[in-house]
Amino acid sequence: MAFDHWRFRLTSDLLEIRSGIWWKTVQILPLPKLQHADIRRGPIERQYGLATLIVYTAGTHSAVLVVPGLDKSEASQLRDKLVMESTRDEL
Amino acid sequence: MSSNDDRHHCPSTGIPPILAEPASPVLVAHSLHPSTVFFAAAASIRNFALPILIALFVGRNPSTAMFFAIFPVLAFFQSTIKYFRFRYSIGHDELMTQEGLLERSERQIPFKRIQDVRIEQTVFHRALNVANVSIETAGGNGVEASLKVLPLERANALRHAIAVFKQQQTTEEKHDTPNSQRNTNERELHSVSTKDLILAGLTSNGVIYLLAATAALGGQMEHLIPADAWEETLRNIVTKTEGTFQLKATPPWLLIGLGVFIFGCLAMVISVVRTLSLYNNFTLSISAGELRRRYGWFTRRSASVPRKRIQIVRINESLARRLIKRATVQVDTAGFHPTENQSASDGRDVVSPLTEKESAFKLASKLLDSLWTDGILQQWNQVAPCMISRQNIRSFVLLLGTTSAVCLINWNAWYGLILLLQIPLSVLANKAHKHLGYSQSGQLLAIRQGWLSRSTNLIPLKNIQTIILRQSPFDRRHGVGTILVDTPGQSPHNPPPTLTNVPWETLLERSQSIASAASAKANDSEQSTQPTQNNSQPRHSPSTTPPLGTSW
Repeated sequence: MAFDHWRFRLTSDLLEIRSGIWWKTVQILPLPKLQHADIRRGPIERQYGLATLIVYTAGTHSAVLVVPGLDKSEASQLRDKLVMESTRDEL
Repeated sequence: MSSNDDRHHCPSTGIPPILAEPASPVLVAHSLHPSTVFFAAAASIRNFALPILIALFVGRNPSTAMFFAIFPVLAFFQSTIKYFRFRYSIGHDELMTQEGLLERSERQIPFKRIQDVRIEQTVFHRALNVANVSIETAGGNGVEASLKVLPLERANALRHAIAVFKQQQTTEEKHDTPNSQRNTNERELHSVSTKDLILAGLTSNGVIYLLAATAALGGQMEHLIPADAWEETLRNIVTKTEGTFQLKATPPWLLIGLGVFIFGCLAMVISVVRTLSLYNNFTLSISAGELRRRYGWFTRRSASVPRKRIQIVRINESLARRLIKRATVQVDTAGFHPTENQSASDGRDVVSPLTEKESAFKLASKLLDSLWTDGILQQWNQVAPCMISRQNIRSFVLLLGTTSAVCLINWNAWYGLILLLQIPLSVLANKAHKHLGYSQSGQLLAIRQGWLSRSTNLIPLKNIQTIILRQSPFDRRHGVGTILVDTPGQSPHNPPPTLTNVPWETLLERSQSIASAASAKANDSEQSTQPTQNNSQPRHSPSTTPPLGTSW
């Protein structure tokens, strides 16, 4: 059930993560604010070939954004894309 | 000690590490002021004075006291060793420190990354003309380098070197002609009168806390001491002090009231003295793009923060201060991560302890300078009117709850009158609705929040890290939601700027545009050289200036 409501969207300058069924949360990250991104795979996730993408910002209260239940390859693709987008202006 | 990546542990190879790096040509390594040893020992004695005294007088065993007395002696030796081993040098673009007896550590702090330079002088420091210097970077671990104790002119020279470096950088970036004539001159932005400081003391939270504490203590005392003994002592005090007024047969509630009143006055006096000693002669000035604050009575503090590092300007009006039309101005800066006791004790995020409301906004406009637009305080987008009814329902449920609880304990139809409190609460909710709101203008987002105690947050869009929207099932029924804005450098103990009951659709649109503005603005901000760390592509090989984390 909860899976259906985890959505993310990547535009040219934003990452938007929506979650929650009853208590809805929308997290919007301007991409240049991304500090670094991790991919975490727990034992259960590895069993099913899944991965969790964790995105860090320099913020105080919600410096860590989480996108769970991604496909393994999808996660690394997304990570590379995010990092590329966020550093694009520096190159 | 923080475990940052900017520390290089050099095994003692015989070659002084500074000589091994020919990066900065002229480097003179200084050591600290010799008095550092005594200050360290004194600090240690102060820390252990209480345990020693307790052990001496309470415990019968003098060896315990001896045990505690070892610590100051150890501190003395440790600081002596530190004095002989600690060296620092000021390069043209970085500060280097070396310390350690066996494991020697060397740390380089590029001026570029320095956020905050604070100079602190206690009474004793002033007698010797020395000062404590703390240097903070955005690494987030608080103080990066703490130079205790430096001669005052050395401390000022260090700060000047940093300021000059930063000034050069900004002029290079802007391709301006170096108009140092205008910029290096210090110009005063703001100062706070003693009268305002006394008012600040009177209206500070401290008074309320102390009142609550004394009330709680009084309650405890009544349990501890037999009631008649308590009353008798009070009666004695009253007859002695106010015997002239011939107060006979005073009812006990009057005595207790009097006691609370005296305690309250005492609390106010303490709080006023505290505020005065902390903020006496508060001046805020700007020089070379840096905000410099000087304040303090016994301990003179001086802190400078680059204006660019300001994350949020907050104008706080607590209930008591609203009544006297005064406000406090605070700024959040990155690298400022207060621990619980710090934020309360040295007021380092305060830009103005207390000032009139209009001048508070004027000050905020000066702080934000180029980002400021006058329109921002005129057009407020109010929150949805459903806020009033929701607030009413909430307070009514609360009142109903208390009334029924009181009635269950002790039935009396008159308690029903508690429900009448709903009327003033509704009026308040109505007024609050007029105040709550947000406004976006140019590169600035303003959020007004709170209704009894109010605060206005002015957030430059480029500082926004994430925007979080929340919607509970109740919110959804009204079609509204909550917005939270996260920036660096907020106090972890206070909630981020928040606004509830904003129409959900507007919220979605707004946040998109705000986030776009936040990411667009970042491109031409001065930190485009910001190294972005990531795990897959290390784009920074370990070099002489490792990233100190985030420089926001």
